[in-house]
Amino acid sequence: MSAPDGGSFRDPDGRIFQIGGEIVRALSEAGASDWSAFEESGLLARLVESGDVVETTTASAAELEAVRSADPGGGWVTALRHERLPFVSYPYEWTFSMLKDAALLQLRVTRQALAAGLALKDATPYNVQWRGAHPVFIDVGSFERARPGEPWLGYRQFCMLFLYPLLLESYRGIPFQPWLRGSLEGIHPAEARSLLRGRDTFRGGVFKHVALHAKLERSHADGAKDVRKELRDAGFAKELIEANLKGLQKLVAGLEPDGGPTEWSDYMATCSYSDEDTRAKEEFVRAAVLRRPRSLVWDLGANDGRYSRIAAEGSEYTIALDVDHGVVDPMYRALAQEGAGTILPLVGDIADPSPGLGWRGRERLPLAQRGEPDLVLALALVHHLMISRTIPQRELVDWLAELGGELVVEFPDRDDVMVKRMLARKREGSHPDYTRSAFEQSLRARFEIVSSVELPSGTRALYHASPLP
Amino acid sequence: MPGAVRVPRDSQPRIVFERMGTAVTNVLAYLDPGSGSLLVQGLVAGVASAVVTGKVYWRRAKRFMGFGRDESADE
Repeated sequence: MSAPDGGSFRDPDGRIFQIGGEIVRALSEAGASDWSAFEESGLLARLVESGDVVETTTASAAELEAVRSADPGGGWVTALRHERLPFVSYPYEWTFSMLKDAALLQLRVTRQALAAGLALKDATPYNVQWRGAHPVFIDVGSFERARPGEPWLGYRQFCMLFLYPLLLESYRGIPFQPWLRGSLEGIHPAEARSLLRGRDTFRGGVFKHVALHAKLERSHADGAKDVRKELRDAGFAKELIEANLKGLQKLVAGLEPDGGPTEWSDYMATCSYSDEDTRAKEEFVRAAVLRRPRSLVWDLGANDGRYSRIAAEGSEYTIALDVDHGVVDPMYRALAQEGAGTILPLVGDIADPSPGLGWRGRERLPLAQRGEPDLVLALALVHHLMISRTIPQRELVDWLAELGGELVVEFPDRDDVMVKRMLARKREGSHPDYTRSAFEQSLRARFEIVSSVELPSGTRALYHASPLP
Repeated sequence: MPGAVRVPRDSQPRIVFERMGTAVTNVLAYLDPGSGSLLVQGLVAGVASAVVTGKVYWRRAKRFMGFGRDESADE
């Protein structure tokens, strides 16, 4: 496949292509000139060395030719080849601490660029991806030569996509993920001001970056004045950008997610597993994972990541997905501290997964189009989907089969403590088809059951299944 | 802030600077940085930045009152 990537069109001086399985960035003449400045400054080498920027080399002549034939009118003069990161994710799938760490990376890289006589064209979390729990800046096309007297052009975007979402969650306890999924542009200054009012005005960063920002944006909405020129003439210097970046670094570093325990955050402490059950479950999952080498495992409903860690023993990369940011955030922080590079924690709802978003719905891809798992773990999950979310059993099994990988699935019976609690909230007699035999029947329609086990407590069964051709 | 406006407006170095400035602003960013968002950067970075924004507003006030140079002369 060599069509241009659907999410890389915004900067006209660069475009991403996939050429023979490689990630290739094509550059225009202006883009190539900025790239030379970036490379010659020595900053690229330092940032790649520290792991902050994606590995980048000059592409082959054949790759440049392939780009040109895929996009003949593009005017591409140079091509770069990037390291392929294992899985693409988006900020509306990250936790608070992930967006915070991505913001700190953006600020760190911007400051280093400034010191090297360079600038960044933008400041968007879509330029950050992950190696496990390490954020990586991927857009080398963002670096350009600094222009004297020019303010930081990415400041507004930084506020809209990094700062306001973090402030909203930290100061107001409002999760930012639905906001960012609802608008790829982020939260506008005026919207942020409507949300952060009253005494919030006196909390860190709100007066300057929200209230004043919104006020000045409103008073300059007609765009009639050449503010860039006015600032340059008044002596705007890069030291002011540096001071702003430093202040933002301090502000962001001090932000913490708001709120106490969420629905699942103490699940492991209060759930209905005995030690024997846990041991048996771990053993079963480990055997299934290690049956053959795995490249990508999805752990759906990962909770604290216990089974993602077991999956990581036998897979190149593991996605640990859970609907509750209250459990994913501590998992991320633990993984980041351990330096784990092969488990990517994400926030997501199986019953409402990330759709295609942006221009033509192709700028940001649906979750299922971003890499086919060769093993899916669905542990302590199906009862939530079938009972609380009322997903029909057969449809759930169909969806799991469509993912294309092998499956390890847990089925808790009607007399399991958790299931009883869920059914008690429903009308008596509801979900009559929620039985182990009915589930097995649905499973056999799409999968071959490789092995199964009943946990010692007798109310939960585990299946390792392989999709039927 | 009025103390900060004593800049020799018509001196030779300034003309050179402005010509260079005009040349570099022809290269526009693909991202709309937002006029208000640019101006607020003249306020958020402490005293030094407030002086810069003070100058911008002072010059606007002078132009409004008919004392400033016509902006189109720079284009």
